[in-house]
Amino acid sequence: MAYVYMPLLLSLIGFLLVFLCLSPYIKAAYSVMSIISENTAQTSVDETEVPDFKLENTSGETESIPYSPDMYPQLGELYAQIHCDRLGIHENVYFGDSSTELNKGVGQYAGSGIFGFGRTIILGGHHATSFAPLEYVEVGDVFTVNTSYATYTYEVYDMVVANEDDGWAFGFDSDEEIITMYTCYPFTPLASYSQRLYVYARKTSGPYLEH
Amino acid sequence: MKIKKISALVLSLVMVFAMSVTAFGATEDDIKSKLEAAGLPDAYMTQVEQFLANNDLGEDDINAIIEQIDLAVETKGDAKDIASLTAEQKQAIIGNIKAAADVIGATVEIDVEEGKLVVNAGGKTYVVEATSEVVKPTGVSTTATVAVVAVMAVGIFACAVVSKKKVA
Repeated sequence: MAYVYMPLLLSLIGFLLVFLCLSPYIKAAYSVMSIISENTAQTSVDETEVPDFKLENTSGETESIPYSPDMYPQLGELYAQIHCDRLGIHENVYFGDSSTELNKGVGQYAGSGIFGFGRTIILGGHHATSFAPLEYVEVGDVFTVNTSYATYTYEVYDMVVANEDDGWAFGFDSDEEIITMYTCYPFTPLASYSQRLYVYARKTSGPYLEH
Repeated sequence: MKIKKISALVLSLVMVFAMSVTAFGATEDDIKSKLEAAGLPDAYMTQVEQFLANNDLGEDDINAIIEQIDLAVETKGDAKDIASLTAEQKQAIIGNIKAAADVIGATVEIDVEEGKLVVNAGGKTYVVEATSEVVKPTGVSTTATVAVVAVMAVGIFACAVVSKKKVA
């Protein structure tokens, strides 16, 4: 029986190793096939847990709305959704960026401002799941963020690769409201991930929260 | 006529005095100004703004908080950043932060090693982390990868040993 089980076991281990090494290329090929076959992108948004987000940009024309403490989310709360049609990103945004939030979707650094507050918002996502499409991001790409109080759009204007502890890359010194999206770099497996791809997008529509 | 002029003068003086008292009353903007003047980085000012937007502070609370800020600034001295502070300075400033939090009934958790400050006030949580902790791991963990490969290597080795014994 060793002549049966051993080859099977060794083959399984070999397949796993090959899959692990080639997974980025397999994913890329799958994405290309999806575009060719005009399949819609699979969304990571769990519809069963989606709160009452304003999916229509009715408040986009309003310049400002009064801020309310109710808008400030609890740690771990699902409080927004982020979309980029060109890249096929459709993710839940959680307030907080522990491994729990990052495993479920995009996590926001709780020390950054909430959408519409006029401050920098820092969003992190795994490079193999939520933010995998960031590998193909381009200047001009538009991200839409739906919250329970308004809808916002942000346009990408820059991107940079920097170390994980390069404070200058976080964008806190911006004079305008921006989102800084980051994910581990490079996008290949079995690498050392001391660097991040930082993508910057400035707010182009959505009401300012007066406070 | 003289009495009217004196009354008008007295009334004007009273109004000026009253306006001066109002002008000297501290506001939440004073807290922000004090912290900016003390060199608090932009990264932390976001949470200050967020906290002030979520809470209505009375003048007494504002004055008490400003007093703690002044003490902390005095302790900071010429230090340019947190890393430049001595252990005694850090402890003293932590004391000022906690005293300021006590004013408004907030709780403060400080992890100096991780560089993380968590304030809970009014049912909401405010987080500030050191620059080295802001960005989180968002890739396949190198440790996990090494562990998986190591397990596979052990498995392959075990299979080889068993096969050799069977053949023998």
